[in-house]
Amino acid sequence: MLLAAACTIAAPSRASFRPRLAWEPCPSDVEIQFLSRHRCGWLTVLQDRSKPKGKTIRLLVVETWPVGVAPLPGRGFGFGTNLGDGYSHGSAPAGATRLRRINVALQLRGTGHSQPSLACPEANAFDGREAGRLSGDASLREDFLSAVKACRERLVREGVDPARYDLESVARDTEDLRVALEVDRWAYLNSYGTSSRYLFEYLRAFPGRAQAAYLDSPQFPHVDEVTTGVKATRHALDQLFTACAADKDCAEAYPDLATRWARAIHRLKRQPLKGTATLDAAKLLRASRFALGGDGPEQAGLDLTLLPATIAAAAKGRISGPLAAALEDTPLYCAGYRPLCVGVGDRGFSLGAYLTVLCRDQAPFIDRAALSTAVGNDPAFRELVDDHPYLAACKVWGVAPANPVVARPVHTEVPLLLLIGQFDSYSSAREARQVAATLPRAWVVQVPGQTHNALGFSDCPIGIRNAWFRDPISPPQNTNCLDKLRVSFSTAPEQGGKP
Amino acid sequence: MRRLLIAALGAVLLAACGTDPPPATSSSSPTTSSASQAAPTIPEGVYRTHALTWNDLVAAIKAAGYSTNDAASVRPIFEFHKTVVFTIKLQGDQWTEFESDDGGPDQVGDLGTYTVTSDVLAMTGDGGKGHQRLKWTLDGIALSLETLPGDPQGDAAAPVAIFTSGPFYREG
Repeated sequence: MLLAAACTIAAPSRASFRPRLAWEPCPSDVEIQFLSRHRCGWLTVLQDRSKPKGKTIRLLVVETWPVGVAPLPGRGFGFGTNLGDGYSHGSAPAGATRLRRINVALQLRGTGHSQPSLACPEANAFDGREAGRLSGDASLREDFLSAVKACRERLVREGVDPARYDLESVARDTEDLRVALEVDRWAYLNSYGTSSRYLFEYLRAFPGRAQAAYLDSPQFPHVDEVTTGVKATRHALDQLFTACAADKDCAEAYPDLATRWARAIHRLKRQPLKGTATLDAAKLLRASRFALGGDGPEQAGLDLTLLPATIAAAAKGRISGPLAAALEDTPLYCAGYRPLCVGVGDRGFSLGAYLTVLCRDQAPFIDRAALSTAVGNDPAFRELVDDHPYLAACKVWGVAPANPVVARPVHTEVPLLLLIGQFDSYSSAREARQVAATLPRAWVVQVPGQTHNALGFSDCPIGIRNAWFRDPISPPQNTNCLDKLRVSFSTAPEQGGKP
Repeated sequence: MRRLLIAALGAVLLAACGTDPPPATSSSSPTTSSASQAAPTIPEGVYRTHALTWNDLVAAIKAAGYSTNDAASVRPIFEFHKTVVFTIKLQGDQWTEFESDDGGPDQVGDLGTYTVTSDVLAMTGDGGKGHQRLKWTLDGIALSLETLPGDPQGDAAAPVAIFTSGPFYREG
């Protein structure tokens, strides 16, 4: 384990730079999110730790106290949301209260308020232009890649080294923060969605620095997000078809949904639909993945409950209203590639931070044979992968591959609770179980009826997490409440064209 | 991570802004506790409702012209079992709406920026998406919000429930 850590993190420099943490008033858009005790600070670290006299960067730290109860000793630390996504601190007091710990959030380098930001407004300018185009539209792709190139060039002119915004650097930031806060060990770590890649790198690089960790909808370092995405989406679709067949109303309204799906894909492959938005096979797959990986049942109008009706409508040559809304309203190349498609400003998306982790820590280590096997002969999945805009952007983002150790499985003694929704198209319960089987203290809780964000929709998994946290070296107990969770599909005619 | 109601409200607020809202048609004037001659406004601060039941929310939704089915359709957005307390925080040009479900901790439901005219509170959702215009009156510490006659409501039953089930009482 120590050898692995040494492979990942370069030896400390002998230079005298020391990270600094200073408490200051919160930015106004952070302050407005709190009613209870909190404070903000800035952690100053080196952009490139191999250059002790080089550029420094500032990372926003937000501490949140429990409400109505005295905090127990120790602090918890969260790695935030999906890669590149911004921050909402709105549920931090609730989380701190439930676990009775001061919760520490770090707006990771390149994201949110942290300075510099690796957001790319150059690319945001193309939001909304995808709705009327077919998948893989070459002109739009060229515009996007030009914007990414322009973003990189601007950042480099400003002194940014995009490669230094990778998993290794974030893990080191986290450790610098722990030292600055004089925390012996984190009482817990947590991650949401694809930010699990940061958490696993921290566990790899700094073993023994946490007492426990819970990961909501995680991905794992040894499988890239593209391959996981194909497998998870296929599994989620299968779960959807099975769940609809088992639901009396859904089965009656949309019998044999799997056949309808195949019919829709076949039909759209031959003849895309055109309305206020254009729908082809790959876009139906992307929109379905968006709904299955949805972070909320109402994001952009399309959610899991509406998906059977949406698929049935597409099979009949119609674009449902919620599907059209999803196609029209989500940012460029978001739906079907990224789990969350909302938020602006510090709560918006940092394309540069996302691209560095994708292009440096994942893409070089994609197992092409495994990915090809996962895709199979499915034309929609093939198009989804072949036209992947972010993998294409790696060519212009221009960051060298990381040390391959970042893409290897992490062995840790730290107790882990892995929570995954039944329909999650971004996180694979099968991969989670395989990982848990190799670790001495890791457990998987699959949450029925849920998509991405397994902890976000029900008190049941939250209660399981809270109880486990009191004794994290034992498996989660009293999980019976999971049996009552299920999805209710909408069969209302106005929601997508009841046949 | 809690479900992001921000997204939910962003979507429904967006649905309400397909057309530019017409000017306010109300002629009633708000009252304030201030004797100042300055144009009435809503003081910055934290405003909280009493504990509300689902029936309270349904009543507000129906009072705004929605049907019982409209109310039922937005029930899944709300996570409380028995009661909910809504809180609005106004600071600078920013607002945040919080929800406390069944006596639990406050959690952010939605946020954005706002402006106040003499009788209209105009709220914009995160990133400029979605708009909500509400008639406001302030009686002492009690802030009441109502939908504006003639304003497009779209599918905005959820924010109607949140903002008009009040009143909100100023804290501190």
